[in-house]
Amino acid sequence: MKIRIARPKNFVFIKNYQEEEELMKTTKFHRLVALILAFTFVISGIVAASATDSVEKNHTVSDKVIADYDNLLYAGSYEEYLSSGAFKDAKRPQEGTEIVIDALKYEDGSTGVYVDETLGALYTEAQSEVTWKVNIEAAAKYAIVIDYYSVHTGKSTSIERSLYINGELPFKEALALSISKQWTAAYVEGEITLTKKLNANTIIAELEEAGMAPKLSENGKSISCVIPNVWNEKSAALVDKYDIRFFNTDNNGDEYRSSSTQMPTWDKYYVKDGSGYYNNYFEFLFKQGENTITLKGINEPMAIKKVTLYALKDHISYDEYIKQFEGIPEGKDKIKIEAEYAGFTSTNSVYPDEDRTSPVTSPVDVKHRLLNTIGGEKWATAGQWVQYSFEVGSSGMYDIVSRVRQNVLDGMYVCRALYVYSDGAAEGSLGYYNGIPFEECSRLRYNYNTKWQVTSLTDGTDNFLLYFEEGVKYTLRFEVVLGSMGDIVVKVQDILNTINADYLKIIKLTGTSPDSYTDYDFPRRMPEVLDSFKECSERLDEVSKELKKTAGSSSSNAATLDKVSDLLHTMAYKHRKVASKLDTLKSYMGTIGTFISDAQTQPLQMDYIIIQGESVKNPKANSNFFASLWHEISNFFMSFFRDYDTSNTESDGTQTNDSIEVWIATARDQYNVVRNLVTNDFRAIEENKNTNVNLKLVAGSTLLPSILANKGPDVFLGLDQATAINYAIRGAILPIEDMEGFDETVKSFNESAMITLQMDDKYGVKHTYGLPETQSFPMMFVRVDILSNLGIEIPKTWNDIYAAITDLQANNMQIGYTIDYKIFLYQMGGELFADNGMRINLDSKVGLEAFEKTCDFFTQYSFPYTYDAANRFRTGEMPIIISDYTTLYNTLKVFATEIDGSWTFMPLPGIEDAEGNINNCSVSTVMASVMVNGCKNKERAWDYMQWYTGAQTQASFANEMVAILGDSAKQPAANRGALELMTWSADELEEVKRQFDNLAAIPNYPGSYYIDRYTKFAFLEAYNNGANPVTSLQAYIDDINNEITRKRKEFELETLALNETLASKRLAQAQDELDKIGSAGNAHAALIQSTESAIARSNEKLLRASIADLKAADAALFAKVIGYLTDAADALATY
Amino acid sequence: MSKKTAEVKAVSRKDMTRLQWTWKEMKRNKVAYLMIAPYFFIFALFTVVPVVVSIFVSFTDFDNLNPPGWVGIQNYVDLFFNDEIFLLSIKNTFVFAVIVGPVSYLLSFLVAWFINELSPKVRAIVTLIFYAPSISGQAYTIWGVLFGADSYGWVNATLLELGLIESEIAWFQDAAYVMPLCIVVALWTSLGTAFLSFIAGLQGVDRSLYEAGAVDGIRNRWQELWFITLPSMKPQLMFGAIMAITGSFGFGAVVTALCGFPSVSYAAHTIMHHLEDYGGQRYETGYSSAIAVILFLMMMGANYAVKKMISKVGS
Repeated sequence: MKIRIARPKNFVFIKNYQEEEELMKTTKFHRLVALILAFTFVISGIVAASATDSVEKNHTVSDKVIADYDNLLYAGSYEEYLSSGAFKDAKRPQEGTEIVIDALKYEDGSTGVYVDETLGALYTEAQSEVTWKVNIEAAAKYAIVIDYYSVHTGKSTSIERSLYINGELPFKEALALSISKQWTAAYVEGEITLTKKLNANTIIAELEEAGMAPKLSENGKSISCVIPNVWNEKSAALVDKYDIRFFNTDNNGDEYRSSSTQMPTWDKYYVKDGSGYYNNYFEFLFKQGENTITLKGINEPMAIKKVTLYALKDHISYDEYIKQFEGIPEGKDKIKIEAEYAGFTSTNSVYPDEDRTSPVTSPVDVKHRLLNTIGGEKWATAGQWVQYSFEVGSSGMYDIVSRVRQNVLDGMYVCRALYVYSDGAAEGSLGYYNGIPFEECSRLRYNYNTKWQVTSLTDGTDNFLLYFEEGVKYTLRFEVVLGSMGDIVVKVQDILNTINADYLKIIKLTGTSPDSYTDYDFPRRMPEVLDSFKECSERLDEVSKELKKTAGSSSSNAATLDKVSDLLHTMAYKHRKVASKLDTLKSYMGTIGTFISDAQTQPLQMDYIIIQGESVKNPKANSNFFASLWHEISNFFMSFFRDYDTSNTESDGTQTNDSIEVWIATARDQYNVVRNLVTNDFRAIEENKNTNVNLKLVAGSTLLPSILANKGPDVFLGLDQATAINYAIRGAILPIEDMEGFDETVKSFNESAMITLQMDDKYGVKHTYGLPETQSFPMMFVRVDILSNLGIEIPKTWNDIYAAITDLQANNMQIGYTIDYKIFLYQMGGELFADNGMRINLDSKVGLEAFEKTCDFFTQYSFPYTYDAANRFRTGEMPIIISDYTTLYNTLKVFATEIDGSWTFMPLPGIEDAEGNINNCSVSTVMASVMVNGCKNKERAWDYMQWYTGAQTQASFANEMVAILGDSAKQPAANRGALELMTWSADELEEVKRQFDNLAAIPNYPGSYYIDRYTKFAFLEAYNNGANPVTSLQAYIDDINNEITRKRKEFELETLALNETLASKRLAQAQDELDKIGSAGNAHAALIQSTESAIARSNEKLLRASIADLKAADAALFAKVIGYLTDAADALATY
Repeated sequence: MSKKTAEVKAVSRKDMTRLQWTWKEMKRNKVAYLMIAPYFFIFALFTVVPVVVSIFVSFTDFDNLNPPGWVGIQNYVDLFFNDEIFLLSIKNTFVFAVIVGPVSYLLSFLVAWFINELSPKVRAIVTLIFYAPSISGQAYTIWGVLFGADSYGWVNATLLELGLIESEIAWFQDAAYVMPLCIVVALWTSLGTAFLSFIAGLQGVDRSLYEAGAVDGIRNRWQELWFITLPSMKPQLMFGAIMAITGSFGFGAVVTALCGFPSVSYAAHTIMHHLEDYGGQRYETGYSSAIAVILFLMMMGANYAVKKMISKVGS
């Protein structure tokens, strides 16, 4: 019978009470000194603060409070909205009713909007708020459609808005409505190489007829043509016949993707669920009389022409649809569109990709890389679409056949919605389409199979035909939807939220590892939790049945739900088991979270689409065994000949001397992205046109030996700061501060990032040795749901943290912190090094205090020293964690999907001074691009480095990584401009920028490595043995200083003797000089005497006065003395 | 054979210098030399040359990047007179070697001897079980999980559950536990190649010797072991000993993986670590080469001593 609560480790202190007493004596003295020092600090703080009051006060501290998250945490879901009494009672207005609101007639008080004359629409910025009034005759439920223009920003983030009706958020989903942009891949001209068999004139005539604008090349050896905007039978057949490709190729003949560009266009946004849970558009309740609609900007600007309220109409069924076309014969055309030639996509992360697994993928080539498919795992998130336009030559019923593969979701199927738009057909005519043609099209189904499949449009049971009219341009848009999975996911998510809330209630009582032998008396103390378990268990059972029905078979996912249901059942009915089963419940919650995120990814890879009559036989989806075998064998042998490394020499193959070698030590994904960027973007810049970049993927450890052997690269990417400086100080890396445009380039980085890449040489000249690529730093992660639950406000200062500790620990919760004393050190205004790195500054008052404060967290407040941050954060044991911002963010995004939306991250808590200024700086580390000694073409290498670390390139890199690896691939970009262009949401970006504006820099002086080592030793002595942190740190100061001195000697840098400061050294030198002057200074005897007394008192002010006097008296005679004294005074000023 | 031919040719060795004689012999056996040439070349290039170079480098201030400068025996002087941590690491290495070396050697032999008594099929399985920890690469990280500093580390969680400790212990981060734990882990992984060679050696002992021994008056299994088994497997014993010595002197990677680098308060800092510290972290290759040379000499000395001891086996 024991309930474990966190307790300070006082048992250690009791054992060592004698030592404690002795320590007390010294600490009393310390306190006195501290008091005096604190007083002086305060005064100097006031002086400093009054001097720099121009910047907005505490702009680096987050202004978020817990109440800001109420909407997110407590707003009801659309499901609840739908089942509310008011909604059920309300009627839809008469069919065909439309209420159009002119966007330009917005209300006063809207912010961030202006009228864009050229567009004739209302421009709303990313951070904007606009309200319109609308009069409704009778209360009813309307759907909303917005006519918008996706303004060009080039950012891959989609437009996001939240919608409020009459100033209130109707339901949670309306918080983040995501509105797609349109992207298009830049296809190049296709080329047909002429051979003897091919007659140029006939081909040109054929292409001409198909509308592909053929051109004979100057040398007459090839014909080029453009990619058709609208496919028809002829153009599709010609592309197939002559193997025309519309992608760039490098000089190996491998195709590479051109980067997608955003095409600003007018489009309609039907307000619907961004996560794809609900298949239908949202309907909103409007009361009779005046209503307001408010759109709040979250991300990205857009222009709005009008907002229309209309009566939602249910789609007709396929049976009804097909009845209209009775007796119409099947169409005669056959149009095969290669899926990689998508007209538009909703995002630049859905793009053409290579498939080499099957010999019948169209087209296929074992020798070269062909981008022959589209989608795959990148085309998986609800709302992402691709579209194709075509025209048929004969009206009739058509079958739309596609070759697809879904080999990711085992035992499940993925869904696509098909939107058809017609251009040129009269509204109401047979061939007119505007959106989903019939209900089944909103959930077309693609089953799981490890192989490719050829399939018609189907919902799993029936195949569907569509009518197309001759001469009308049709657009097919395939959009990712969750289909019938959506329903299930909504329900499971809702249940998970309930269980989560119950779990938090329980651990408030029991802690995260409850004692299974204790009777916590749940029926009396929290009967509502047991009831809720009962209910959840029943609901899960239902959902599981539904899942089995939709998937057609029982899968592992249904089994998961059953398991959880059983567990909840047990816990509800045998309350004594609640405690012992809590652990299992916790892990099951994770499993459900994974199920939800899995069910939301709907990957599908598409090879081609054929529009043909129903009676035409479908092509084979896969080849026979022997063809596959031969394909694999030739693939294997060709792999010896394919060059995976070099890039960038375009097919014209112009050889120049301006070639540079760039090494990158990352994974292949990153390498491929950089390679694509080099090929597509770098050379696109006019002055880099002739620069060949030989990009190589290497292991990081090869750099050192290669430099030694003089076979190093020109530029190395991604070197960490410590190694960069280590190499630089030994002459392996070139300083770059003299390169053209250096000052300009450096402006886009945080100053702190540059300081870490700088180093004084032995003449005291500062050099810079690299351009930062990434800069990572710790931030504070917060579980807002838990804090809100416990009534704890988001901490802004360490005092808030201290206050929170008590509340959290009373609820068996902890705070996660690292043993990084540097955060405190720099927040208290200290520095790690003194005297330009000649000695460590940890023995200063502020240094020891910072270290002691950090240790106290672990020794006095029982912070755990080692912990799995993501896991404890997810279970709620650690609602506050201070950790590297991208690392933890990325982990949580994949690992803890079940808590999505209930956490956030923000700048560190800070130290508040008497003025209320909070210093919350964080300590960063940097990875840099460096120019390697032996670089043959410095200018070109510099161009490359500038381009690579530039905002656009870094942003493209980061966004590509997100596109490939998902939301969990956020890069800690060092370039401020790149941060802005990345896919952070506006809220997240704001917090990152706040912290980014307050980063401390720790220069990498020789011997730095010794500091972390010994501070860790000191910490562990305090942590393990209860030693006094201050004394144990002090014991190591000499060791550290000795090592610094030893290292500095190696590089012939100035050193200090033990216990000497730069000031004391300079003063001694000045005294020596004065002694040397001897009789020559007789004329200034009084002055010398006063100087000597200033030296003896080592007082900065007196010294400055003496310097002035000495200068006035005889500047030449006292030159050396003045020099020393100035140094000493400067050094004293920093202490 | 060479002796015989020398007599036949009637050219006495005394008529030639040693060099001439060797050359003559080499020419005669040129096929054999040709056949070992590829291996010898590679061995020389990648083993002998680096060792020699490293001895040379130990007299310089080479920093991996700049041309080395000659500093004479300064590195050695610093090592013994200015480097307290080196002395500490020698102490640690000896503690390590003295405990782990012999214990693991004996353990290997005893286990091999016991296993040898089992039927072949069972023997194969048991051998695999004992050998598994040393072939499965990073398997020792399981100790990191067992003795995790987290309150969810297995040992911590168990002890907390039983109420034996009040709060979690940072096992591999606590100077008091580091050394003993590392020794345990080292022993656990030590049933490696030596162990296998013992099994092979035990298999190779001529069975008839035991019969002959029985006739000659061997009275018990111990005598059998001492007078027959061990002497017949001296090569394997020697091999095993060398493996044990190099293993225990060169033990470092496991400590780094479990305790971090360097271990807390240098509690498990061995010469190997010291070498890494200077070579890898401080870019003082000259100095670390000097450490390597010392380590090399220590191993040579230990090998020599062991050879002496093993020659006493069976006498």
